[in-house]
Amino acid sequence: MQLTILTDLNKCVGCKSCQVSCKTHNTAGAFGPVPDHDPYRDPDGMWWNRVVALEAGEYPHTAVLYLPKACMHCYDAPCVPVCPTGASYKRADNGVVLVDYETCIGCQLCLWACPYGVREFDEHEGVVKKCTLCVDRLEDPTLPPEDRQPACVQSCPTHARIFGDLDDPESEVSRLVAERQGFTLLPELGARPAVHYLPRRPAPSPLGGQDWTMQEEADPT
Amino acid sequence: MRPTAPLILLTVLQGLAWGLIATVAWWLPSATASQLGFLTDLERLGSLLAAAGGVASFFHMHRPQAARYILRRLGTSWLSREALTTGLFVAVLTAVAWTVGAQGPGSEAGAIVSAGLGTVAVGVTALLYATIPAMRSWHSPVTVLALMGTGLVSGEALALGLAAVGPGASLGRLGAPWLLAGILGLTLVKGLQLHQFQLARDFPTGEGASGLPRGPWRLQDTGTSRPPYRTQPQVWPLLPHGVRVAGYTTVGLTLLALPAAGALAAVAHHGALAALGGISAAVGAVAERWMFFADATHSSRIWFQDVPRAPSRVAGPTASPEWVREFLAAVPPASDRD
Ligand code: SF4
Ligand code: SF4
Repeated sequence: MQLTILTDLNKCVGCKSCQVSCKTHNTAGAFGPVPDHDPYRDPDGMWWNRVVALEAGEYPHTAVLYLPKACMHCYDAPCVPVCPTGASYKRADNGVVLVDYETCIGCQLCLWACPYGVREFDEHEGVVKKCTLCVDRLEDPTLPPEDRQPACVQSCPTHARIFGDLDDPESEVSRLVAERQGFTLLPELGARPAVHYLPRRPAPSPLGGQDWTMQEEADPT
Repeated sequence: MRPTAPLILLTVLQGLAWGLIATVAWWLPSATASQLGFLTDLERLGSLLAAAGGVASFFHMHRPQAARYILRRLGTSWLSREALTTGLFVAVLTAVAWTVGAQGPGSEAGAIVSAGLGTVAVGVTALLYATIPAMRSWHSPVTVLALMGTGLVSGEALALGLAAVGPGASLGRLGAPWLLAGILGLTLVKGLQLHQFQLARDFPTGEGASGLPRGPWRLQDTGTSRPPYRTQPQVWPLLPHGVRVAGYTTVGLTLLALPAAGALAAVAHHGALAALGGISAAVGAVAERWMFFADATHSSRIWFQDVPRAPSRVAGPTASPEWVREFLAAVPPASDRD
């Protein structure tokens, strides 16, 4: 089993609900590992999920993309083998990559090894922290079954985020990845992320003929 | 990435110690009886430097209470291997330097074994940096050559400089041509490394980072009010061009040019100048390592880098399509319609 989140980039409107709900759940919940030491004077603490906004293309053929970016729970997670103490590990039963704060020495080598910049160093506790895929919610028997999913998935107002098992070919995430060319970030670095994205669809342009998602134009010849 | 003092000290001092003991192992068979005490002093200096590097590395661990687990992943982690090999190097070098030294029985074997362990320790440290694909600037065999070359050259230059003002002047003259050859080789390697760093700065592709196929790509928002340089030390603002030029010029002068001049001065019996070259090499190794960290590009930079904010280009007035103009011309002005 490889649990994952699929984000439809056509539906994401960059509202940052997922970013804020992640922070809220993981700061205030029973688990509560995300530090927020000085939230009113220094609002720049730790975030496990960041919605990045990118703009691409040349005017007038430009596009703006909102990209929610958290741990990709990679199949070949490069952060795991580099860890000298075994604090970083990948669970065999569900594929979630976690950090054991008890054995982490805070060497930060995993921060260098992760291609995606999603691990964060807690300078107060001296350990590295990251998205847990809300494993505390997934395995909480007191929650109703429909709530046993990551906080970011639950809070998305456009239902752009879908949670499921990528190793199950019948799951919704596997089906969407297969049918709609789901892609991963920086595949050339070999981490084989489990987290996938659905690419932007071409959209009609009021400028005539061109489209704003900047798919390569068909060769007229 | 953000340069950190413990890592700079660990890698520079480990390299210097290795360069010193390798030079001692090489000079020992040619040394006269009166020079053996000086070589023992060099070994002891090497052991102190290596031990200081080991102590500095402890300050990089932010939870030393978990340090007992550090050898758990010898099978996969270069950091576990570094802890083991550097620990062995420091232990054996210290034992050799402070017991047999260069004069006691088995001194040559002791120096050779220490130098061999130093080679392994510095090589493993270099591989730790070179085997991280996400660290685009370091993911290359050039990194291994540069780290090992810097250690060897800085250690040998320091040994030669100290020899030139002590009883080992003849040993210094013996080592000078080899030091010059080493500096020449390191110059070539550093040139290759500069090219590697440039390629790395050009690497992060917006296409791989966004799925949008056509650039140029611009970062509008890192997700939070500031990029996460505090919690993510693998990304750091791009060095301004002037700082980069000044940094590499300093490295060229202190690690390469002045030690080369020092080697020539040793041959020409200018002890003070040769000593200056040796000290300069040690300082140059620190400058080299600062640039190695500060100028390094991590693949995640594409999502975090503070790009200069250029104002958005907005649409200028464009002519309406023909049919719109015809329509507007056909519609009578509002005053006529009343
Ligand atoms: S995204 Fe980074 S932290 Fe998460 S599993 Fe992959 S390499 Fe590890
Ligand atoms: S910072 Fe912690 S989790 Fe990361 S590599 Fe070091 S010991 Fe492992």
